[in-house]
Amino acid sequence: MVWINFPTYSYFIITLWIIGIVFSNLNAKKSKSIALVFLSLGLGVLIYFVSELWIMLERPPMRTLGETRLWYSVFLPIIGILIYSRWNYKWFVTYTFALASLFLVLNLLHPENYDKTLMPALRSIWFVPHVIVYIISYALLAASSVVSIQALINTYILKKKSNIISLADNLVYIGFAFLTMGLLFGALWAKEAWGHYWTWDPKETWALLTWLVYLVYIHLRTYKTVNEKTAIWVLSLAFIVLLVCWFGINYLPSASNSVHTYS
Amino acid sequence: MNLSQHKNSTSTKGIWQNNWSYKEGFIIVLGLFLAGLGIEWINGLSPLPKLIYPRNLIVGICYCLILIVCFLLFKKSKAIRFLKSIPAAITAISFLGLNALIMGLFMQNPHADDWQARIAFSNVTSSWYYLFSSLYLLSALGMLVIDKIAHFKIKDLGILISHIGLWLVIFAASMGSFDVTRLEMSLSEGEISYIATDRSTGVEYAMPFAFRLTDFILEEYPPKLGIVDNASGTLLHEQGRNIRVLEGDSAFRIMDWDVQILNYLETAGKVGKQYYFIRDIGAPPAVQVQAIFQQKDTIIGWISCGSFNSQFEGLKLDSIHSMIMLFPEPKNYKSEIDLLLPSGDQSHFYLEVNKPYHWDEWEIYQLSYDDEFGKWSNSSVIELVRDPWLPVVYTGIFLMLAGAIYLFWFGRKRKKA
Repeated sequence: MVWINFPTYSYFIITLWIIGIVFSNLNAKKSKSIALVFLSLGLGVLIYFVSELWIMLERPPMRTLGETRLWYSVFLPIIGILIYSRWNYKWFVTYTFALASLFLVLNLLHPENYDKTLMPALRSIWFVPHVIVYIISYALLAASSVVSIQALINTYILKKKSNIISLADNLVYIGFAFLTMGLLFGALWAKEAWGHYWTWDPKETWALLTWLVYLVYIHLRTYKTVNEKTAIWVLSLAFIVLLVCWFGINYLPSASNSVHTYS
Repeated sequence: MNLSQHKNSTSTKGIWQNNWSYKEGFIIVLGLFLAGLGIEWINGLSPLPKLIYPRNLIVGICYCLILIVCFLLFKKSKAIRFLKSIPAAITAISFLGLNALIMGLFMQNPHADDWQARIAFSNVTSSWYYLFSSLYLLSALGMLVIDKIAHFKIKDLGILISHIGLWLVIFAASMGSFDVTRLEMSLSEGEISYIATDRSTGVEYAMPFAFRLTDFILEEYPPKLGIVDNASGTLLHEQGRNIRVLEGDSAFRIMDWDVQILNYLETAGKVGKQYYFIRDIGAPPAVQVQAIFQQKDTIIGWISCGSFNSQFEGLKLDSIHSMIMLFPEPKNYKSEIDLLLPSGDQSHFYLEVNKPYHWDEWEIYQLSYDDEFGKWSNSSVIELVRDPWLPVVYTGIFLMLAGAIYLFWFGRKRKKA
């Protein structure tokens, strides 16, 4: 009953992360290394929890929304740690870990019991690559929207010029590459499972829309002269569409007959 | 093309006068969208012309030729220069996005007959504005591809393969959609079937081959126990918290009851008030439980989910709650099938969800079975799919994947305007 131990695990992980975040925002000499140790430790505990869950469930823990939130909480900190250790953005590591903690808290508020069943349609070699690629992409794109929020704050509240949008660009390029793979893996899988690679299922429609909005952003950023404010707003909008696609769709009447509702 | 320059010039010279940019692009989109809406409104519910092979191939080739000829003859014209520009790309993507948004917000149902159906909001993929948006996007993509091929540079390789890939996918998927055949066939154990039905039209076809179902096998997960509200009959599952899988631990806590499994029979029959292990068609699982409420009241009884030929049985815990057994969920199902050909040749194969069987130009899928009989079902429904354009679509998909890997590896060099 791994989920029963989840509160203990998550309180422990969040505590480690909070200590890490505090250290990352200090200006002491060794604070960066100490921060990285605490953040990675929390991440390690979370990865341990996910692997335990995988073993207990005897299936990949990627079926329900709660399970995908867990993966999100794994990949977002990885991106945060990588960017922080490479470029030293304190605000970035704070945001990514806050977001990851938020998703752990969401799982605390909506506890799930373990359910081993996996419907025949999901029993496929495509299941793991399709979901993992998507969650990595979502985590990267969430990180890019974190940058867009900071860019909005810089532009409209602090009224200062910054060049952080190029960080968003790099996150979007990698995130978009994964998004494309997720979409196309989904198409290849759909052909195997349902007989056609594209059936305009509501989830597919919203996935396409998400892909298109990020595609607009990428094209907007082709030329350096383009208005950065437009690009920042498009990036923020793109993330809202992504969230609708991920779980907002469960509340849309138009999507009530989707074949993608597994939770 | 110099974006900043013509941005300045459009503001001074006005629209359409200079190089076309975002303003012109969005006006084109608005015009095409309104035109599409208008045709839908006037034309009512009459569908788009169906381009069945070879008409789709001819139209497709003509369209490609027109693109190439336009590129060669009118290279310098504003329209052609615009089509391969970023503003055209962005407005075309936005137009397709608008179509997707309508599809995402309105329930898609080709048989609807209300105001949404009148303007095709409930059937976007068969609408004129969807056709216009696809054409606009294909033309913008196509013009860029032709231009990049005509002036090939190695640094454009990533852009070229991803754009060709997307163009192929949209082109072949739309053109090929008229040639896709999806037929359903019901098979019964021991019988030979060769009649398949098109679900969308109801038309029946005699196939040039036949199938014989030799066996249908369904594997199930162990059943689950849950609590229902006696008055409303609804399952109080609390997002799975009050559901227990009958497996492993023989004692657990569910709501305020301590439950102990006394007896678990995978297949059972009832005699008098007692269940016994039997192996029979329709014999459901049954379980004898002891439930203790707050360490005081003890209730003991049998629970069974029942089946098509045996009674369901729940256990009343108190005036409000009862414990029930949920039907076991299918884990896997497969059909063992003989394929019979007019020549007398036979082949034998298994059909499973996610594991289609490929034969000649057909892809054969396990679709469903007789729900009522579950694992005792003697029938199986299979689907036969033929999509001659699939290799082209797959070529496009793999080019797009290559483009994605390229983007991941090399990122994008931003251009100075």
